[in-house]
Amino acid sequence: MFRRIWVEEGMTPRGDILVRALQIPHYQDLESKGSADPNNNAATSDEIPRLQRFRRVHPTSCPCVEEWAT
Amino acid sequence: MSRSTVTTQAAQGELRHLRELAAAGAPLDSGLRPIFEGHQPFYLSDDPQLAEVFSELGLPSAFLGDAPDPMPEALVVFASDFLELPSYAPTLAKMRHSRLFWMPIAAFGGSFEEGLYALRLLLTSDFVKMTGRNRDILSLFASTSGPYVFTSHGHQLTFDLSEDVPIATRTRVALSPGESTSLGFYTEVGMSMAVPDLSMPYTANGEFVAERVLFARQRQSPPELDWLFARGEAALEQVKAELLPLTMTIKDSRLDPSCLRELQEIFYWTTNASYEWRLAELAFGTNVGIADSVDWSYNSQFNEGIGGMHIALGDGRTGFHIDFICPGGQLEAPGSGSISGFEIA
Repeated sequence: MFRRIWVEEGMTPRGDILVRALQIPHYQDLESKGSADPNNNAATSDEIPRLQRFRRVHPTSCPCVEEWAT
Repeated sequence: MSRSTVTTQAAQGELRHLRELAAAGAPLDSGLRPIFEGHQPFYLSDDPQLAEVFSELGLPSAFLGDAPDPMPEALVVFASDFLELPSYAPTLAKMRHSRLFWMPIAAFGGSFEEGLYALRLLLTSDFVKMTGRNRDILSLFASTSGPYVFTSHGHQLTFDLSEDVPIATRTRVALSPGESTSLGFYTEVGMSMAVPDLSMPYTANGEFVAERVLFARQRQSPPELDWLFARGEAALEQVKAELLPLTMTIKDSRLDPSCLRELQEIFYWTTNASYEWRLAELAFGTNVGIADSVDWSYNSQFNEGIGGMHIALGDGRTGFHIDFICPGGQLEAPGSGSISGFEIA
């Protein structure tokens, strides 16, 4: 693995930043199944568990988090 | 929308475009349906004029203050005025069961014309293709060691990435119930400097040619900085008129400000002097399909999402966030055989 990518895709209902870890073996597995095809979103949605990981990536002092925190 | 209330030429032009789209036959917002898994989105805005336009175009909609209770399953919210917008937390609480797509017009100016322009590009963008391109770029970064090279105008910007990289982008088109996101997550693959420790997940060196500039100001920026933003906005107009295209030299992820000539001092202060010219953002626009529709007279987030690369100074909260944009160009990982091009004219 060259690096670990933390993909922020949006926010959860609580205002937490939605993050998914993208790691090569997982992603290559998806690609080998053809589900990384940009036009095959349904298959990708099935295989990547939704709202899988939540993590605040901003420090607690970040005004962004303060504003969004519930 | 009463035509008499639309006074500017720009607004009239945008409305004409939108009416033509509405008259074309196909459902006006069919391109957005994959985001909402087929659900018809409901449109809200804190700008009553914009809410009237939604209604005239036949889109299910309301003024934000008159939003239905409970909220619809699929929501597109145009936020145009920080002063009028309710607090995020209670707003999000009301929308917690919805699939929520934010259009942050306010951060980029917030005028009625900019709202119309954003609506037109929203309705004509291909979000499925954008998401695929986002994945392509992530795949390049995940599967190669770098460094990476962005080439345009005969200049190269080389950058490397840390082992752990936070990247803001959408890899999935569809929003789940209760999930919210905003336009920029679809239109770009973005990496940012962390605040307050000023760490950057990238190390960039080389030269970058900016053909365009945009600015953004976040809601969290204090009103006490109004005067600073006003001066910065005037300086940006000077950049557009006198300095573009701007060849920028980057060393250790900081801008050599000499390219800004006599505007160095104003940009030093308006982008937060304590950042000392650090690149606050390094990003790739993936909304390749809008190239022919972009109007650079608008300060719109859609414009930075055009296929290509942009780098930025400032965080938008403690000062301006200024995007320097290079449409087109080529991103590659030399020696790995992986290349992601931006095929725009």
